[in-house]
Amino acid sequence: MSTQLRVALVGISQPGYRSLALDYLEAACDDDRRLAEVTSVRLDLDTSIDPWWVAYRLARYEPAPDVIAMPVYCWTARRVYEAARVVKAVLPRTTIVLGGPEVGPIAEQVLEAQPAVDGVVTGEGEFAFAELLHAYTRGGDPGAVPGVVARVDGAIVRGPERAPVEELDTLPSPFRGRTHPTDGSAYVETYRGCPHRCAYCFEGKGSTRVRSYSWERIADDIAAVAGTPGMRSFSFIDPVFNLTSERLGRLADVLEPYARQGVRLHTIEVDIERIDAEAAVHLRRAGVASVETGPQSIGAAALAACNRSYDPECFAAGVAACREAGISVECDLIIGLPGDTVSDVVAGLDFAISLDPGRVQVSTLHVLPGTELWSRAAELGLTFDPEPPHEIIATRDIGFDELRRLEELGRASMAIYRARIDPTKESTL
Amino acid sequence: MITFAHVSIGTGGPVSCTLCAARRRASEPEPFTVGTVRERLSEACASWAHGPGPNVSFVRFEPFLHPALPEIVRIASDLGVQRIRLRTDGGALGASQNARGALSAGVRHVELVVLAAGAEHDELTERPGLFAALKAGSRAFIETAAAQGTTVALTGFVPVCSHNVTSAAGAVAALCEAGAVAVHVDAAACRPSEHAHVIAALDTAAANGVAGFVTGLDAAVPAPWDIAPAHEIGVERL
Repeated sequence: MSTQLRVALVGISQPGYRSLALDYLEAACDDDRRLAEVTSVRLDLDTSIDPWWVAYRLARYEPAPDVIAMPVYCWTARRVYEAARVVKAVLPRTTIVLGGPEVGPIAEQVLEAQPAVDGVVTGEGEFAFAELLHAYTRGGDPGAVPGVVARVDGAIVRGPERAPVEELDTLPSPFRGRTHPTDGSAYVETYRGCPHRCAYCFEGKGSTRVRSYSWERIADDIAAVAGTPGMRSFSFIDPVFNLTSERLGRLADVLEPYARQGVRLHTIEVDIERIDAEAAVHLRRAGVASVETGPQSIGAAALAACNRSYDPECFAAGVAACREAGISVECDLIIGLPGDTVSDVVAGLDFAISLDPGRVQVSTLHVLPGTELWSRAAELGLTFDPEPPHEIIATRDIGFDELRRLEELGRASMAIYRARIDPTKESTL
Repeated sequence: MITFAHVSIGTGGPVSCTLCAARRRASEPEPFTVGTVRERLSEACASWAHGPGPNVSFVRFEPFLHPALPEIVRIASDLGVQRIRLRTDGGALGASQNARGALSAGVRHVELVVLAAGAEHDELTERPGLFAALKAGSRAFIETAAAQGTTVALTGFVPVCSHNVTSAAGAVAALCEAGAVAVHVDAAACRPSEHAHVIAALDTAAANGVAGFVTGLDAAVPAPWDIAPAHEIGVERL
């Protein structure tokens, strides 16, 4: 490849959202002086897009991209793979690089199954991707780049391991002068990692260690997003917003001036059992309009299998504290967790609805690559689709047809629960 | 699950199998007075201890034929009822401004009563054109709500007897097509030898991605709402 590398960053997101991962990649590459000769184009698409149309758009670029990079999630993987196949057929000289939680933990399998894909970034992608581009510009060996698995002369080669970024402040901010956050769909992160070890989740990547940005950086990023003209609401991707009481209070201090101007935070993930009246006040001060939480399941066996705990009284108290503060709560339940029976799922639904949280979200388990459930699926009796999005097919305790009926029950319950008079909006005859 | 108190607003409706009705020599449908309904509503709300609510389902009379429906719905709303459901034959929902009016008053949930699909429904109810009207009505309700940004639910009620049991699956399929999120099959009037048809109706719901549940059979599947008799107020048993 020439040093005049042309890179296409392609994000396929849920409708109404924009890929924050690509924002970070873009910022890292822009900030890397070694990549001064690299030019990039950005395509933000949503999951309604026909993969052939993605290929068409990429093939129309003149000159054609040398490298195409796409983050992959379980719900976008099929589209990404299909787009990659078509792009490769049309632009055989273009290198296709994937990253993200769907492909990182199973990089070799992805490269084996997807011959159109040339490389996979296995972990946090910012510096690994920048180094990979650097390798391409100088004709280096992509298989030697830490944190990358690449196809080299037909062989699949894993580069050295790359540790997660220790000092998050070394990551260039994607918000300052680079991206233009849009109302409702912007996300900010204040740390990486997760203190929990939920067996179905990839967030902690096997560790409970949390790495935080500095408060100066957090304040700057929040200012960049919350201060964007027209910004009325945004969210955080932090797995637990109320990580500690002190941190919550400090976040509220940073966010309060924007909240006073009417900026609201939506679907903030919280440990609801640690929310009392004081924490709810902090959330309110921060402008939080809605929070998202578990319990995911209330079945003892499933909770144990998934390394989760649950105290019904604390949970109910947390929901009540939020509601008291005018914060809507979304209670999430997962159908198909190992150990759960039909009765457990129905009891969980009953419990969540009985709290009148504002919203109840029932979803089906996806056995995600890199999670504990993925590696222990056979032992736990989980039968799931090996193809993305890896939906659960049956468990040891709930058969295929029962799972489908529970999904229907969940959908119907949510619809009926939500079909209510909203006293804040209603007028009568 | 969500509990609804069944509040009768009259007798003899909203729709039932006319062959069964002829056998029972049922009396003419008659609406209850506003005062009677208010009393029952107050009773339902005052004793509410069933989770999120109060929620009421107006039953036993076609609501759109009740001369005081707007007032009844307003009373429910004033009493703090959160979820107002109409069990209806659906025929009038598509007419004029009925869907808009119901939504404006606070109705958020419509339960369509369907005995069979197509012409068979019309024959069993002796109401020519009713099936087409209920389809148009359900469409009007859903589309009007969507245009207003109002969240609503559409569900179905299929009372099964020996005259329509072989058509129950068709009735469920029609409800699924109309946009129902759940279908309640009442098999209380079925003979055990007819239960296979009821199961087929439930499977039809499942195959269409719709929650189906049954009452009147021993092995009831979980219901998305609770219709325990203790919560039914003033309901005459079929």
